[in-house]
Amino acid sequence: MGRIGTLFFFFSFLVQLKGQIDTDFINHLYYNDLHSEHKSYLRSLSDQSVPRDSLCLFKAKYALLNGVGADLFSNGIDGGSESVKDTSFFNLASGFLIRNNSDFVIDWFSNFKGYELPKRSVFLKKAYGLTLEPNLDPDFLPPSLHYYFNDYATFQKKKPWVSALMSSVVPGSGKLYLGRSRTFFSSLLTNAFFGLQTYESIKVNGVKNYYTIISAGVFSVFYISNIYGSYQDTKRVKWEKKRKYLNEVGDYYSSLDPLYQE
Amino acid sequence: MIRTALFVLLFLCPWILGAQTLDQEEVLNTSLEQFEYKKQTKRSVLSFKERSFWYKINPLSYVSIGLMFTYQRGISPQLGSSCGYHNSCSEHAKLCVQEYGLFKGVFLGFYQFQSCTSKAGYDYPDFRINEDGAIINPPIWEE
Repeated sequence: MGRIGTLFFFFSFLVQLKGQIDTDFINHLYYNDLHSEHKSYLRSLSDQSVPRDSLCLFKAKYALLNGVGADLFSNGIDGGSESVKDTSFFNLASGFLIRNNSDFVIDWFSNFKGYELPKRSVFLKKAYGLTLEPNLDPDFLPPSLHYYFNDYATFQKKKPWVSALMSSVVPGSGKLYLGRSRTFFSSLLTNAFFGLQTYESIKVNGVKNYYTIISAGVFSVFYISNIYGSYQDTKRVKWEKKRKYLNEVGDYYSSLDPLYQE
Repeated sequence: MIRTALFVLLFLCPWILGAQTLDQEEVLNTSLEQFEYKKQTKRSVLSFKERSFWYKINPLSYVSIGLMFTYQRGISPQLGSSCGYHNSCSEHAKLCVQEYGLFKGVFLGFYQFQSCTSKAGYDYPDFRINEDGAIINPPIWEE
């Protein structure tokens, strides 16, 4: 019985040795920019009996290097506890998903609910949570991120119809309302120029004149496009502010440790 | 009176005149700019594939395509102007017309046209500026 047990232990040990992931080799491939070889090696490991969690973690790291969000998410989730233990990977992955405002962010954190997350990732989660519920207290944010969050929160309250109304009264003022001050001047001048030209043409030539009709037509196109564009631009500005805030959050709390240890 | 006002308006706008700068580095970069290799933007022709039957038989759509084609291939290279946006104003208008239809597309195109200045990039966040310093402006946004 003792010999059988020893033999069983010895053979199982051999099997485990055969199925280990060569992390030094992967580090070598990464630091020598051998990306296609890296991919091939990970693919070859799928056929062998390697620990699934570790393989998924390395696949998730590879996906993170290439910026493939869906693969990062699925492999990171399948990596389970291994993904969470590798703090630099988890922080970098969380930062990457947040920076891209990925659809996977909420599922990413909820899947690791029972685990103790790395400290930076906890902050990332809380900072992302502010975009879902702006009424939460943002005091935990550092001053630099506080500025971007306030900017984002202010612009979430902007209304498209206000911007359109302002543009109809003073052409270009809708842009000023949206924070685009430099393009406000060009828009105002363009509309003022064509408007004055139309006015002068009406005064000199009268309404039933080809030149007046053409001037009025051009001016009306610019004027209506200024109003319509301001209305549409409001949504875009809101998205930009959110994306800017999330980018700053991702950069601030992202891990300083390398993904692969040299 | 109005003419005077127009003249005053024009001369109050130094960025349109491209005022001279005393910064030596900026002067050097500006003078060498004409010798830099610049990628030629690809211009597409308005596509008819996903359009309705009435759009395809409407002669106005052919006229507008012809005018745009003439401007982009014939007139625009002669003017030699550079746009601050990644998609030039005419290209953006064309893409918007393709995507949203004639009226919305024209209005969005003119909206960009009246915002097109050399300093427009300061109004946009850094992730909307590409490597060449042009503002990224696709007609459809994936939010």
